[in-house]
Amino acid sequence: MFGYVRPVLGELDETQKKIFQSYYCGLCKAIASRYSGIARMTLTYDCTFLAILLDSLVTEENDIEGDHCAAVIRRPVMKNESLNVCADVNVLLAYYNVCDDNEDQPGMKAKGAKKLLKGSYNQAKSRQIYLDTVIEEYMQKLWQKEKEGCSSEDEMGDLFGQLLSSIADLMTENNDAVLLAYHLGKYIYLLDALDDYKDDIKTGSYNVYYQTYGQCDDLLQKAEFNLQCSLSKIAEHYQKLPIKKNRELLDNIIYIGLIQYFIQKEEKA
Amino acid sequence: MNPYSVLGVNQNASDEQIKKAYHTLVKKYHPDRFQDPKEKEKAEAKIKEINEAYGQIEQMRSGNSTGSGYSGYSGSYASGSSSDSLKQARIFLSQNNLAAAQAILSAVQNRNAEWNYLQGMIYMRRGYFQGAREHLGRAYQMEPGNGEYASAYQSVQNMGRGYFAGNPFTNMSTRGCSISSLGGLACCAAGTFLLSRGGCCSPCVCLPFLCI
Repeated sequence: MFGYVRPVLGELDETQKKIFQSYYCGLCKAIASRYSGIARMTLTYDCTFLAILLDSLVTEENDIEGDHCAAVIRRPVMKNESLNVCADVNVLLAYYNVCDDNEDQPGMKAKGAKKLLKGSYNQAKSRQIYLDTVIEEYMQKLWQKEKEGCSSEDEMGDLFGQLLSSIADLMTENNDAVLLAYHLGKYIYLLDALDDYKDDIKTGSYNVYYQTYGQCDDLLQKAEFNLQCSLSKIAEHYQKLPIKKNRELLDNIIYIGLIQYFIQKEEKA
Repeated sequence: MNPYSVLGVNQNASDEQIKKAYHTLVKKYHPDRFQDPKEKEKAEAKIKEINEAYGQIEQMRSGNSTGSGYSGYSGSYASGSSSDSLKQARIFLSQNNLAAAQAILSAVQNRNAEWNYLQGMIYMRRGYFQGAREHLGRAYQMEPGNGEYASAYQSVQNMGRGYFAGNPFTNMSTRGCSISSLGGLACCAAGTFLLSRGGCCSPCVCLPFLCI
């Protein structure tokens, strides 16, 4: 479910690259200091994006310091309140993602991962009780729909969109940011389903596209409409945001980062 | 919960009475009337309950079930009431009260072009783009001469193009790319900035913390 929201680093200049890295490392550090070394392994690009977006709405200056990563390498690291909350979100989502794997494919691997994350999850839950309830509520709804064999892209995407927008709703007052999160959630869910389509058929896991179209060779043509609409909505709300900094970096993520899955696919073909 | 008691009417109340009770309650609890977030939230919950109850009653009454004591519900009356319902749904839609509009539509049996149009518009507002395209397309097919349906169908089909149209990294129109698939589109977008920078856009990102 993760990793679709990130910049195309090759298209960023050195300054922007450094800023992105300092958010990324900053989130990693925030997770490490609030949770454990293991929880650090769950670091996602998606939560990094969330932190950049929220922070760019709040302050005008980037506060970057050098810090050590794994005792040896010195890296630029950012510290701010957005990163702390996103660290909690990151851990909560990672835990539910592992639970999701467990539902799909029960096995030693998923079970082990769940066990490893349980401690951090409990900590995150105690810090963000409301967030945890919200995430759990929507995950339960998603699992329920999966069990029923739901065949509506709209409904499934909507649930994940609502999940993400409820998170954003707690973190920002800006309505466009919340709506952006909604459509982003939808986009991530559908893109993930598209990406996993072949694997899900092989393993017999639930996949909304398989439920809707069965086995087909032109899935991209069928799926593109909804994905493009979500992208348009993301861009529409993004353009309305009162962004105070990091515009170049955010532009990169929104306008080419989000579609790099397709760019890479095209290059491979 | 008994839907009739939610609306505060008797089981034997006429359709008109029920509709009236429903409208009064919807006005009374319209969330926009409340400033305090807590009260607003309460009102929203109440509205939801009212809509569900109304939808339930409509469904019960318009359903084909017999012996419910509504045998006098004639066909002509039903069709008259469904066009009234659509009118009401339109009003709710214009007030952005999607739940109320949806409750009415779900209860209407006669799914004509207008019904499909309204359903498509509700989906559109909710971000259900697939459903929106499907229903607006159906409305357009049923009544190709209707300008309202045609333009709504056109606009939903153009929905997806917004992302690339406003994209600072690409200039679709000058390259004259065909919008046939997202892969094609993406390639097009990539192609543009590949040419402009003359470099590789492969996002071979090295995870900072993984390359320890």
